Amino acid sequence: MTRALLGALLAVVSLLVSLPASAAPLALRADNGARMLELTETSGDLVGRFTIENSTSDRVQITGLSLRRGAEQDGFAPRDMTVQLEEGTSAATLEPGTKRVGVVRWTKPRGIAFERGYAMVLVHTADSEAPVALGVRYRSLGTGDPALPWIPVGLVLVPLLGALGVLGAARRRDGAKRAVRTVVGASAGVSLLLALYALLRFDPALTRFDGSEGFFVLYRRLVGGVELGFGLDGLSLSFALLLPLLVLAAVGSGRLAEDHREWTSLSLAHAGLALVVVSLDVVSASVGLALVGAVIATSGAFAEAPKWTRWTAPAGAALVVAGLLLLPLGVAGFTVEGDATRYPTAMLELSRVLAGDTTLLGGVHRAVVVWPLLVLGTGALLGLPLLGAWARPLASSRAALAVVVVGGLGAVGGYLLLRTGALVFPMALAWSTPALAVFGAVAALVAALEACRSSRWSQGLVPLASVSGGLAFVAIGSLTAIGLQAAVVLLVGRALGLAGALGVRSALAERVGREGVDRVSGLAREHPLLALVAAVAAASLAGLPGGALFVGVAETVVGSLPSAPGATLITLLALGLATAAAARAWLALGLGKFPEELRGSSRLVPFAGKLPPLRGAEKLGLLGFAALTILLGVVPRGWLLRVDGAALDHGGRVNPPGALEVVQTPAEPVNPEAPHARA
Amino acid sequence: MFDYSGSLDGAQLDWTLWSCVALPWLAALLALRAALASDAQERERLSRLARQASWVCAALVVGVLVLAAVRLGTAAPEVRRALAPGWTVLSIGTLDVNTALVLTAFSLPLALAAAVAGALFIVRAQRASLRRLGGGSAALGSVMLGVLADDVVIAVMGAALAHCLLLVCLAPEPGARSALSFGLGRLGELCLIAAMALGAWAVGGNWVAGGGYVPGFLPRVVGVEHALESATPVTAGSVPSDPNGRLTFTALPGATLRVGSAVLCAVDADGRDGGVGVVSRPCRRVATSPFTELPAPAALHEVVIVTGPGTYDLAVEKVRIRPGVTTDLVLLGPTTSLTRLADQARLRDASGAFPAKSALSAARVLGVPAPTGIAVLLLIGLLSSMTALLARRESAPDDPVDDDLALALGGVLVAAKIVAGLGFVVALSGLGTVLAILVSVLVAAWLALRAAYARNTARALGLLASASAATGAACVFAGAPVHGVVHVAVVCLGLVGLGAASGWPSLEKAAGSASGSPGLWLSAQVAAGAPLPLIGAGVTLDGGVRALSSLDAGSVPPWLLGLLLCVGASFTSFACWRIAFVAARGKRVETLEGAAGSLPLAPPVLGAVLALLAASGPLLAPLETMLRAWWVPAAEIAPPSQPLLGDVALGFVVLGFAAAVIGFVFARRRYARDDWATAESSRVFGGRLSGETPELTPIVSKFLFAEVSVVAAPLTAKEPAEPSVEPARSKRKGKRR
Repeated sequence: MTRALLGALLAVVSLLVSLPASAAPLALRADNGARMLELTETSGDLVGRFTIENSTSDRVQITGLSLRRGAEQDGFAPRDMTVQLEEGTSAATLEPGTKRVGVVRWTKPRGIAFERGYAMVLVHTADSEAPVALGVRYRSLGTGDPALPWIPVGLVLVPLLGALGVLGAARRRDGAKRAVRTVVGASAGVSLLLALYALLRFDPALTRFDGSEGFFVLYRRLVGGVELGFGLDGLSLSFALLLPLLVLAAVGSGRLAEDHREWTSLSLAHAGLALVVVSLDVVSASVGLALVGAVIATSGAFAEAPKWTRWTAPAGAALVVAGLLLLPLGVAGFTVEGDATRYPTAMLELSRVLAGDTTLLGGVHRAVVVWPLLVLGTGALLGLPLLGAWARPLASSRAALAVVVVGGLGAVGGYLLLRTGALVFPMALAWSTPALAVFGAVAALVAALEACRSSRWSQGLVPLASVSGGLAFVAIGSLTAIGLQAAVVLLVGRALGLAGALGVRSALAERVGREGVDRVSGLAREHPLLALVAAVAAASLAGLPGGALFVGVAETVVGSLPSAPGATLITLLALGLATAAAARAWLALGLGKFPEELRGSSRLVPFAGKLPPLRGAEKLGLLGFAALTILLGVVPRGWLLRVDGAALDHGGRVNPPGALEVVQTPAEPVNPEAPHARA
Repeated sequence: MFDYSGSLDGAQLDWTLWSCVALPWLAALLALRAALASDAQERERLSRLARQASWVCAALVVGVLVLAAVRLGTAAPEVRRALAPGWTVLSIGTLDVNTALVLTAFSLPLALAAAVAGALFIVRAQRASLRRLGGGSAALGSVMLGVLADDVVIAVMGAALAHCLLLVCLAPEPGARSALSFGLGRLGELCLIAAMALGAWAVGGNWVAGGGYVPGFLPRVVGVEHALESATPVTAGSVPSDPNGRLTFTALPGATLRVGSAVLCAVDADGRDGGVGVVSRPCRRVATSPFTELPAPAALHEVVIVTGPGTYDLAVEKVRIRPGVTTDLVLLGPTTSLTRLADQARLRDASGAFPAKSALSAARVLGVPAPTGIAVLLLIGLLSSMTALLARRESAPDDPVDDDLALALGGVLVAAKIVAGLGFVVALSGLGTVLAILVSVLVAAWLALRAAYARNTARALGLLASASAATGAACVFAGAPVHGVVHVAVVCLGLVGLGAASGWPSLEKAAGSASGSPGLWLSAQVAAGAPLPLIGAGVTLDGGVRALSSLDAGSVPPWLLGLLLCVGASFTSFACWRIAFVAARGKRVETLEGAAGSLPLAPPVLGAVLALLAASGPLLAPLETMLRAWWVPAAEIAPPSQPLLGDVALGFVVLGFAAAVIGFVFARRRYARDDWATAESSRVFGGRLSGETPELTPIVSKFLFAEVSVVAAPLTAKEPAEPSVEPARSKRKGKRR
């Protein structure tokens, strides 16, 4: 079923992409005949030559050569990159069958570090309004780091290999469970190393004005007519790091996983989520989401829940996928090689063509159709009340999978909305700001009320996490750079908090049984270490100071006031309630007296009625989580330094700075109608 | 390009302030280490070490603060704040949140009050469990962070940490009510952040009718000159002895400055302070913010502030640096720093107008003037902090008074500091000011009235601390911010002394427990400000009464606001002296070891000194007014918006003092002779007002959570009933039977 759906999806996309574009009067090729121009280093500059051939039977008047730059505030190509004909002019007349040579030159500024960038040469003619284009590719780091371009691909492939490894390890007769966990842990470890390597190589000073649109790793390629794109920037890097951490947390506390199928699902979900994180095209992102949706639907976690809850996650994923695939419908653009296309799939290309797009979709503005789909779908992925009913049953029955999927899918879904809104379709984000903020605030309030109803530890976790999910919507709708950064912090902090809380739950369930978790009290005396981790997790989920989420909460309050003051006030109320709920849950768990009936249970009798201590991996995982949460809450600068540039870039796109602001940045708003506020 | 001027406060770097935060945390870590030790002998040794370290550290905190205050007081007149640089928590665009600590006239009294109260708590907890001792130490460090932090976000972090620690470490079995109070507290703190953010954005722009926000066209950073008093004036034609000017920049920690094509040095190539470095002669050490009075070549410069990745570099065009003149680089626009917002408000542009103040006054959000919105948020923040900390935990009847008071003080002191820092914004709006003051004085009176009927000392003291915060807020909104914070500090110190001297949480047990203790009388005098003039809260209250009475309050008679404040003062005085008389003159039940003695004297003595300092010299006015303070107290030097004639002013001073004396007289009449239970049994409204339920938490819950009360109810529904303190009368009847 899933495969059939995916096949149909790809067929539709291929059909759309292969729709014929208008014939160009000129043929542009690199001087080596390649379809893309590669700039090479020549005496310190990056230079590339290309030919312009008149393939028609008429004379063609070239009126100008230019680089596709966009507005100054939203540049696609480096400022210092130039293009002209070899003879130094930018206009010429081409007789039929003749050629001219053009030269692209870029004097690299010092100190810029990114792996690869893309630009586009446009040749304008007197006969046609539409220019002819040629894709340009250039490298800044040169060949010094061959591993870097492969990191995005590696982040997806390693978990896939892990899933295969799980299947192999499950066939062992002895210690299959342990072997399976080892394989998953190893694949997550490799993913983490890859992400850490990328983090270390990432230059926080990189901005979109430096030549690679803020992506220090960028890879775009046409595959079967569909343009695929992968990349990493300050925004996606956080999530690339988060996913393996979640998997490791699941491995550390996942002894309760019944068989290898849960681990296979977990690895596949990891791969799907990683694909969404690194993809810069609507097709890959859709495939990744569809994969995770399928994993959830087939996880078998909904046996004790209403049947319809099983389909809420796939439905959410389907809404987002529908939104993504409808996004390019009916717009014309270029592929990375410069060919005209009527269904551009690359997000970077979409961001250009949608900037001034006024074509209607189904008789209404594109934003009215696409954006609600994306928002509602993301709400379902974030497990918001009413929309994301899948999260609670999954968290109750599949502890390991839930750590990755409930935390990770919400985070990645929110990230995708942020990326789509701020990078691809700023107009829709600006249009929907008030509604988005109110939607998020109300969702957070309802989730907080739901959390207040749950007095025990395991019942309130998902609603508590949904509070920060709702806040993320408010933050994304803020249109300020600080708000966008807040969204990243909230999504990551939420996932980490959930991982810790579910880890505590797993550790308790292993010791007192699943049904006994909510009867536990007096944990602070009985097991101080576990109580400490539970306190950090609760504080983190409620956005209390000291946890990573607090930074996001404070940024949301500050950042969303300009665009959504009313919604901000509602979120304050939600946060107050969430804090009360989290405090109540922890106080019920941590203080009081450990129940005697649990001491006498068959699980604890072998340990003289006491909770057995944490095992090595368990202790490492839980304490590591707690330390990471506190570190990110107290000294977040090391992390946020790498998010700042991307947040400013995206914030600047959706909400450009005013003309008279005295800062050393260009000062021409792209979209003067958009309300703008900067911090 | 932008010609700005203004009298900005100078700053001096003082790293020692960090010890106020670090030392208590160090003591707490020692206590934690001792608690985790497995070997009994080792545990005993570490425990002894932790106990000694805790009080030594607490005492050092007080000492460091006093020294810092002395250094600040003896520095050049324009230096009015001590700055301990911190690290940047987050920085994006031109907005940064950093952990810098600042000691100013606002934070000094509150920090001293917190330090002395914390030290007393720790000394009294020497025989208590390590959990209590360590929690108390850590909470002291957190409160110090909250009170000293310049950034509202960091201040709120400090307050929340303190509350969290006290809740977990002091309360034996906190339950649902604690959780609700904790949530209310955080709600209040988030409201304080929101108030700051509203002010910050209002400075930088305005909300338009359609719902969007349009930034104002203010520069992001300007150079503001002020002459050094110590410098030799340069006359026309003369050659200055030092060709350098001075440059000060305290914002954006870690930022460097490019002056033209050079870099500003902390130490130049020749080893001298300041100067600039170029490629051929690089700096030995590049100057990084914060720095003060750094020598820089006199000229007209193009300055660029390089703030690092993820931020925008800030350009300042045509900064004139002149010999003998200090140029402050001041950031304008959105900020969460209290001092930076205050600095902006003091700047005039070339036309003589105050652009930041004008922007704040003109801004309207959701159809409401921004100052009014800020006032509402501040009040919610203050009230939530107060109600959350009003011992709404499941305390046992025999828990020490310190616990409730510590919980109350932590939030109140931090909230008072933030309210004081933002009070000037509220004062920009006539309607907002009057509303804020009216609510503040009514709340203060109500809380004091409740305290006057409370049968539990701890609860009464908590209520009185909150009442003092409301009174302080009224003073702040009326335009007397330093009076406001000093009032809060003085009253809280008096209450700490009162709590320490009276000893027991319930009045029944406290009765007679502190007979003859001088600390008891002095504490009551300091907290009530009566019957002796010029000692304690009366001095600071005078300033508030006069500021209120001279306020331009539109259609509301200004004297009415002053009168309401006096009513609150009267109730406060009555409540304080009631506790004192009951503790000293009532029927002796039993004594609490260590309750009497000289230790409880420390807080009220400091309170009295603070009040006198506030009235007379360093905190408010030039030193020569010290003598005048004996004749005309603080009212004379208060900064009213509308000056009063001397006789009228004196009349208000007398009114404020008289109100406190009335409270004292009534308390003395009722409690000085009779057995306290007998006196209590014949009070008007005793049955209604002495109950435990109709306190502010349910009231706030009702109004604030009107829509969600259905859901909030489960928070308290399933919990066991709070151990109630039964009315003494019925207990006694029971005993007789």
